[in-house]
Amino acid sequence: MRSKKAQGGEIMGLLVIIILLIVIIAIWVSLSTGPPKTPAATVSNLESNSLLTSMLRTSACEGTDLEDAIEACSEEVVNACGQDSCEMVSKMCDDILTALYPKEFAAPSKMRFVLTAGGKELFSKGDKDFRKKCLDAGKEYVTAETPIFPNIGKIVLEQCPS
Amino acid sequence: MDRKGVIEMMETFMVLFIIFLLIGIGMYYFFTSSVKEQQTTIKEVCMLDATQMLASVIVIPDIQCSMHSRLEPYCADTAKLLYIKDSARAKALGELGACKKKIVFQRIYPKPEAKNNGTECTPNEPEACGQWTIFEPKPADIKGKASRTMSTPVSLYYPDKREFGMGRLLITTYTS
Repeated sequence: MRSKKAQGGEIMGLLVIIILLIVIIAIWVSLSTGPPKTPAATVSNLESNSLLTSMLRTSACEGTDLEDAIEACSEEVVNACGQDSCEMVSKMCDDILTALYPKEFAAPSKMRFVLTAGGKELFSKGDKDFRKKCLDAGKEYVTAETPIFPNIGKIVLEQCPS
Repeated sequence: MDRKGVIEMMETFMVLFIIFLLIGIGMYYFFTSSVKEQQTTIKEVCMLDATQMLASVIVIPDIQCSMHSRLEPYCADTAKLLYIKDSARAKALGELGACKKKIVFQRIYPKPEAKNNGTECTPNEPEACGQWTIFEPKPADIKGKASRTMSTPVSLYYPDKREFGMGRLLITTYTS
């Protein structure tokens, strides 16, 4: 028969193993039940699609929306709602974006908006080297694009969600 | 019992005491971190809930606008917004999910006058106002809770003028 001292040592060893097992299980449980993360890109995509769709349908005057004004500007039809169509497009885009994103478009911008129609850039807001700055900062660069039918142009929204 | 036996027994008790103390401290930290993690999980679930709601609120027939029997995406009818407040549907939206939510549509463009910015739009005052609150939890339910707001731009349709403006859908979640 083993001595009492040897038995005590075995019990200690068993206890140490049990404690180690408890610690390992606790760590495993806490790691496996981590919360699901909201991808910044999901929110950003929703925001972009929603913004671009909503903007195009915003009324400039009775019977004319921003999309019609962009079309008029790209076709060099000067008058829209009794104003210069291109000036009106620029003013409307600027007013909407400034009202919606006062912080994001303040320098240094956290967004860039580009409206192209008829092969030329009609309006842009935000830093020109936005993409480079975003990627240099190690952030995720997200871009969304909405075409303006029929083959008039496109609106691009670049974002750098934190 | 001889002196050596007493010392060995004391030694054993000391070791057991230290082991139980370590287990106790370990359990305390484990449960504390578990509670914190659970709170973080609730916050994350709330945020996911709010994200989903940003996309789903705008397609509810009681809110979404329709033109020539066609439903318009990302568009809220301001006439419908006046009457959905405090309805069973609004209550379900605000109380469903992991946490209570405040749901507000804000007028952005054309910009409301500064004095009307925070004014609530009602059937009696549908014009000189700045926002439509669809659901707001009772102050007692959100007392001492942290809030976080998520938002997305939306079109606001004014059926009386047949015009579209721009607005923002804001969902504020409250978590402890």
